[in-house]
Amino acid sequence: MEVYSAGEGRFFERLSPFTKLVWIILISITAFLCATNLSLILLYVYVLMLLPLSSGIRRYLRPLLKMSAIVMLAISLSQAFFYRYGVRNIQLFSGVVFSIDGLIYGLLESLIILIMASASTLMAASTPPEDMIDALARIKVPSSIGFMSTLALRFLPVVIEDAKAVTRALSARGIETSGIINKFRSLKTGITTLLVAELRRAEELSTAITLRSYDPKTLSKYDHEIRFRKEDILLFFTYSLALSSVLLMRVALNFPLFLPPWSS
Amino acid sequence: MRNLKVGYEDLNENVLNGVSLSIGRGEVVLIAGPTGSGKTTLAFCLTGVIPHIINAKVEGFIRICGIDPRVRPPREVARHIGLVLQNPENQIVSSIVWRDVAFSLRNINYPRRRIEERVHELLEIVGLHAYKDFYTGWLSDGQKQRLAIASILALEPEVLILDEPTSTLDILCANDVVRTLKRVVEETASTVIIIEHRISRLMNLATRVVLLDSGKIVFDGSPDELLRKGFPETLKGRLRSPLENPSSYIKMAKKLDPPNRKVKVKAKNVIVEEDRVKILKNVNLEVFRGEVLAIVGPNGSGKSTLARVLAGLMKPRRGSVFIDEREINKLKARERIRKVSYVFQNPDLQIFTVKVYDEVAYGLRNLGLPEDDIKERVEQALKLVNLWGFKDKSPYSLSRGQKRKLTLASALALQPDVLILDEVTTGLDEESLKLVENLVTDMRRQGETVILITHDMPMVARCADRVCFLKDGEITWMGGVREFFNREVLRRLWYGGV
Repeated sequence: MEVYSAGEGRFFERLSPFTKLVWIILISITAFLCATNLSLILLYVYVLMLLPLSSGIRRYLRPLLKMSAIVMLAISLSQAFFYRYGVRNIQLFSGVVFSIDGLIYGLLESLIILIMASASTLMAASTPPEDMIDALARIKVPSSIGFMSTLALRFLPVVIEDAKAVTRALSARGIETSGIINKFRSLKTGITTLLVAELRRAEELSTAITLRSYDPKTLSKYDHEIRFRKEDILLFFTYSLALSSVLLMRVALNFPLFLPPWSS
Repeated sequence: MRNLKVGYEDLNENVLNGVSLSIGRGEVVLIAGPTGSGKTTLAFCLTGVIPHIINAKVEGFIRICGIDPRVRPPREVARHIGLVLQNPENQIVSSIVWRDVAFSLRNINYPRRRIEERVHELLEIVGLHAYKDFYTGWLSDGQKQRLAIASILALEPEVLILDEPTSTLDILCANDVVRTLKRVVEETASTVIIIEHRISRLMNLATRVVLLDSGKIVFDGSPDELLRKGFPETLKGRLRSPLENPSSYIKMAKKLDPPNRKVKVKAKNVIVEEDRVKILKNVNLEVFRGEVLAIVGPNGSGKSTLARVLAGLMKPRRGSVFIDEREINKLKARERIRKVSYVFQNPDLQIFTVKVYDEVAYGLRNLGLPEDDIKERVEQALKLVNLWGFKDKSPYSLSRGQKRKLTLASALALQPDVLILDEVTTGLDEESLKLVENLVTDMRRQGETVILITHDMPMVARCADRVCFLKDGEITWMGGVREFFNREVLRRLWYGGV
């Protein structure tokens, strides 16, 4: 059973959510700007090495691996068959060309996505939704929007369960629901049922929140304090090491500092 | 309250008809009554939900803690009068237990530095301090209800009102909530008003019992007085006995003719896993033709999952389910529903059309039956559940109890060999319960098989042939009804493990 606790758990659970948010932004920018295969691989390895430092990452690993494989395959293959700027090409049949350069370019592109996805997954695995919203509040996102986002995140699993229940109820009335096409068809029928049920839930929730004396003005006074611990400083230190390695490598290989290779 | 009258726009009659009630500080008042008697409406009036959130006409005099809740906004009233609603899932706003309680404290400007300490105190009162950092989604229903109580106690109300806090809970969870309420009464000295259908659990806790019928008070006295005098005539047969306990269940158990011993449904070595957690662990079960099998057990034991697997609505990871010696997962949906019909717990998730008639006809049209046959079956099914008069109405305009009956009618219309009822009696009043029991008994008489997933022990006593006790995904006990209601067996199963 996953447990989130401010200040407890493994390394990533102990980090301030604001630190994690800033880290993701920095990683994403670096991934886009320092785009050689080798530097991206280095950055990806750096992110992957941090995954075991979250106790909540286990349940996300399989979906993350699945998604990574699909993204890599899809992007690489699409670039391999549609990339027009390559030199190393293999003629297949009736005008179909397989571009080696395109394949490599596709791998490059997919690595950028995978770096961002892995970093975001790491944050999601180690941060309660409310902490993520608190982090956004530090960058002046209004607390009422933050609160609504918290509720949306809190009820997302509930809505997913309800959707499954609606599908089962349709199956119990003779509608085929196995397979993607049947699932999509049943969704058409079940969407109204689901919507009505969730609107009722929203109504009840709204009453419950009122009965908890909710006032957005009062709540905004409790913005999450930023408290940097040594773990936060350590994370930025590791990031700066990764960034330095990437930049040094570019300089050593005579690449432009912040331009992707395809721009030269 | 003096001469309180409340009427909703779309109803011809008032829901509350001149209720006059005075409750003193520190009292623990149990308010009971059949469905539609006005209990929840009363709670909503006391907290300002009516008329600020729910539109209704309110006449008469109300003062609670010196406040007229019709005049002050509910947000302000909530600081004096706390209301815990029936469904705990829709009251929890946070993903983490301690944060949910902290949300209430933040709303009343509680000093930031003392929030953690106060959260710990409140979680101690409700017995959830060990779960402080847990995901709220992982709590049992009883724990969620206790969390909801803690979150309302955080507002430090002078009056705490609870709307049917145990109606959806199993015996263990319900007893936990009752124990929590005892602690709340002892430690906070708040005035507590508990609204319940089933009063037997709360008779030891309450200092006063008020019975409502058709919006009027028909009894107001001590629990001892109620036990001495019994229910007023108008409520006899419409409310559960205040003396309900296992020995009374044995007396309820009818001597039923043994069913046909031919196996109708068979589960063989069934294992169900979700997120690498085993929900059902190697379950083997035979259900006989013409029998009523009750599947009982604590919340989260896998009862609904087992029922879905038996109905072919869920594929087990390993093992198989057979109906009439045919593997159920190999049947097409249309063929399957002729054999097995399932009524789910939440009626809101089973309504697919905009008319009651069409709702019952929906499954029949999916079977491709001619419209004349459909008309005959729909009429028969709706008359069985006393909803024929509502055939042209929208299902969404029905009360919760009526929706449950509608989903039952939709299943009965399919005329299945096996009917699976998943907690269909939750929240139903005594009259509706009797209706369901009669339907189950009739099906049994006709040689059809019924599988009941239920916490309702009187229903088990009156209808079931056998009881199957499920705990942590395994069948830990199987036997006859009379054996099941042996006090020792009950205590061992629910509290001691087997």
